[in-house]
Amino acid sequence: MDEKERRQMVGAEKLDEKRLSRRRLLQSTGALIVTAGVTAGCEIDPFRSESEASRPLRPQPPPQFVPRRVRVVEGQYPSVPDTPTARPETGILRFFTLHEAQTVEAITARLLPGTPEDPGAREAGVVNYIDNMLAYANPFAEATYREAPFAETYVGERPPSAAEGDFSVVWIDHEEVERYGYQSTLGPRDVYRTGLRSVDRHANQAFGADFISLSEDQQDQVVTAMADGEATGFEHPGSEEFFHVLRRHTCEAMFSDPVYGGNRDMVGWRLIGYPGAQRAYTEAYVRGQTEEELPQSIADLNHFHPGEPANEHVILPVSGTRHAHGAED
Amino acid sequence: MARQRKVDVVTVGAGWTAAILAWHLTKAGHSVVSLEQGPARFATPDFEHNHDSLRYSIRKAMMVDLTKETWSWRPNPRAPSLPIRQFGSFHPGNGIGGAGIHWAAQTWRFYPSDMRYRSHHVERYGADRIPEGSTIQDWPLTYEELEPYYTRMEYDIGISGQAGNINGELLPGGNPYEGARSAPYPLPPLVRSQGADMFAEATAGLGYNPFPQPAAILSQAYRGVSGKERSGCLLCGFCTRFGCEVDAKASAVTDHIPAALQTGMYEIRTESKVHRVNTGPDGLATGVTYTDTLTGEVHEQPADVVILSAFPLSNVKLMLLSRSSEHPNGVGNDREKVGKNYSYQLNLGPVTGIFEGRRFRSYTGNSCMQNVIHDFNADNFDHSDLDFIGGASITAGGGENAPVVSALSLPALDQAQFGSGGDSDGNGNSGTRKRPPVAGEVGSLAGQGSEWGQAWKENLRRNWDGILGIGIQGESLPYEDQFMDLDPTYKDAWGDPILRITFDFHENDRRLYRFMAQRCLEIMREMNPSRLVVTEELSPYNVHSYQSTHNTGGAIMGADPGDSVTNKYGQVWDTPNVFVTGATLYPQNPGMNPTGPLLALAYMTGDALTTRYFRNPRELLV
Repeated sequence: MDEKERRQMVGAEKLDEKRLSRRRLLQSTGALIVTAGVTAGCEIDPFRSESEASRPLRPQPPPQFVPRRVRVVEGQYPSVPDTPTARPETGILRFFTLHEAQTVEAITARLLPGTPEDPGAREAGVVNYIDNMLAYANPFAEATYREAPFAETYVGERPPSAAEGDFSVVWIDHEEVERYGYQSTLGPRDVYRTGLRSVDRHANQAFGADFISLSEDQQDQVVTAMADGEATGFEHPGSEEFFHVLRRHTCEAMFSDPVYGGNRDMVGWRLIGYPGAQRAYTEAYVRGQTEEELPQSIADLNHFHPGEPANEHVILPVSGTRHAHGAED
Repeated sequence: MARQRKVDVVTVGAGWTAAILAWHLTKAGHSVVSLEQGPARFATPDFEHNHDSLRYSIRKAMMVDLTKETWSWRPNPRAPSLPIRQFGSFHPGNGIGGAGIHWAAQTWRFYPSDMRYRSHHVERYGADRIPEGSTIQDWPLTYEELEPYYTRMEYDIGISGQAGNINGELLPGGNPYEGARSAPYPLPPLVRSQGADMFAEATAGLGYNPFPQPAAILSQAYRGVSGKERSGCLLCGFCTRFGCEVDAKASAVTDHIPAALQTGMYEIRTESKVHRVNTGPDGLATGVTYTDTLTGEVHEQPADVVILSAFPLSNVKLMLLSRSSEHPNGVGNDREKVGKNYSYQLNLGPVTGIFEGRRFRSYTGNSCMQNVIHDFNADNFDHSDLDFIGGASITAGGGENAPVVSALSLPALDQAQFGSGGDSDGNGNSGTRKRPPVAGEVGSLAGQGSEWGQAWKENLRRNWDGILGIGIQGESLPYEDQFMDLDPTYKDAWGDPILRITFDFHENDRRLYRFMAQRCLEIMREMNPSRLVVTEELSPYNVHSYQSTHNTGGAIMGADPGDSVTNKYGQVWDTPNVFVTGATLYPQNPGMNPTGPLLALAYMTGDALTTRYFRNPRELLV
């Protein structure tokens, strides 16, 4: 490898103290589990010399599985936010303007309508979930490859002649581009900011007022036009695309754990009959022979302790091995 | 560049096959280092408290970090490639244990005929039945050779299932078509769901042979090779795309990694990204170069043997990148066979039944609570009068249905009988999509289904837990025009080209799918749903809908160096101190999950390495 390549490699990753300390910690605590230890880099030589290695191995002590007493799961998968430990504070907007938030609340309330007695998207706090997500350092909330060049579509036999020799764009037949998945230069924040402006543009063209000022019936007409891809006033994202974004995030907010800001009081789970984060189910439960569990948030999931009840029916097993490992012993 | 102390063996990745080999080798006194690009993780504490389907199923926390590296795709060699910017079609894992941590744990043995694939079809139907351009070929070993390793593997990690054929004797309730096994499964089958029972009754009524899904999920507590007692499955409903909180789902971290670490001869370096296999003037490997991604430091790890035990896509990329004057096209690629025989599967849900008002509780359990028929898999049925070769598993009743995923694609109340839909693994995010282009603009921000308003709400209330899909896992053959190579445009975070996949479904796939969709439809009608949704035709392949992480091939094994990259031990023909493991070796992709056979192959290679290779190192094993 030449020096330039090497510099490129070295420069590609920045030292992150937090993650570094996590790995070092795992390795040192890992030594509790193993006899010779797992070590970092070349600081400690975990291997015996070749002559030692060729000797028969000493009889090993019975394996010790000492749970590491540290909880350092945070940051393990840096592109995906950690599970929150508590529901985010409501009444604060982290990304949306007040008008944007009101518009998202009004649209999602048409996608999944509700009343105080029979809650829907508004009552569940769907807008809180979306606002919170868009404020993440990575608003995609999942790992996303963002390197250029990006795609442009063309209609017809071949890309426009001006495209020849232009390597800043990859030209794709407009009928094929859907197969390639997400290829937009727009991120989630752009999609919302632009999409919400388009919703109001369409509402004004159709009814002479912003979306939040329309009657429910008029709002439904706007949503119908969006779902059919026929709403005027949209460019990127298109109206149908933006409808799907809103529908998907309504679904995420309604049915993800309440710690993410939606699904307030687990109203989404109650709507469909889903018990949420349970530690365990019994065979009888699976087969519909016992009563349905009440919904539970991950925040209320008891810490895991073998030998203790997982729920009122199941004791977390610590013993009871019937089949010993037989292939070698 | 820091030069590490030389070891006997270095593995690329600390996934399951790496762990199996490390366990074999360290027990025999060899020093082994595994270089793993992702983090360390064990049930305690990493998988504790992980019952968060948004984080793991939607946001895919446990998968490879696509911000650093992805793969590009194009449908054919004439089309331009674009990077897969977000997860869709498949989900390679990140961290020790690899994809075998978040896997579904459906564990098979391939059929004896799968291993003589070309010969079998030529003998029974004639060479003209092999689709034009298809590069199917035989495995370089027989089922009988692999059988003892299957049995060891099954007992080492604890497979739950019902045997169908022990030493030629057929047993009721098992798979009557399976190759003869020398021992039953160590554990009885898992709990079956209500839907699985309905499927069993319907298929038995049609004269088929339903049997419980064989699973690497413990139906009872069990002690595997780690010596640790593992809990039976708690049926919690957070399984595929999750790490198992109680180690009931077998993986490298439940058994082989702890067992290898116990020898004191094994080291895993996490957050270590391997860039090159280094070779010397004699063309043999001298070790690997990697970056410690926490510090950015580049290291060289010398070793006598290099094992490429990463995901198939990563193994192929690394071989193609490892160019030298001795191997100008990359390690293993002197005959330009690396990247060939890329195969995928038809892992789709042709039919969904809506059973109004039913409560299946399909949010419980795991994907392996299902029943299966293999009456239309492999060559278990006569293809003489059919217009395709190959077959598919047909299944129903898998659990762990999370609403954050499945509510999106709930079939609409007013949906006609024929429309879009599909959910092959009970997770709601596979299948074909009839919607016009949406993903192209906003990707995973968009979803399936378009029902909204009071109708969607009532539908969710009444029917979310009343859905039962029938899924297929179908064979998809390799062809000359589907392969992997290096992308000419896009780079990873370290400046290397990403891997480019050229793949689309072919006519044999469309015919096979059409046939299987009709079988699924017949079965579903037998189950008498209130309504049903069927997708009768196979759509062109896309990279945005999850289908299957069963990407195989790229460095296939064979009997002849002219049509393969390795011998049956995964030993690279042109660089005999480099070994390849895993589904990278498969010449084609049967209609079953690939993990069981690749674990057994790793056992066989582990045996060969420890008992024979080091006696005559650097020589080809025979």
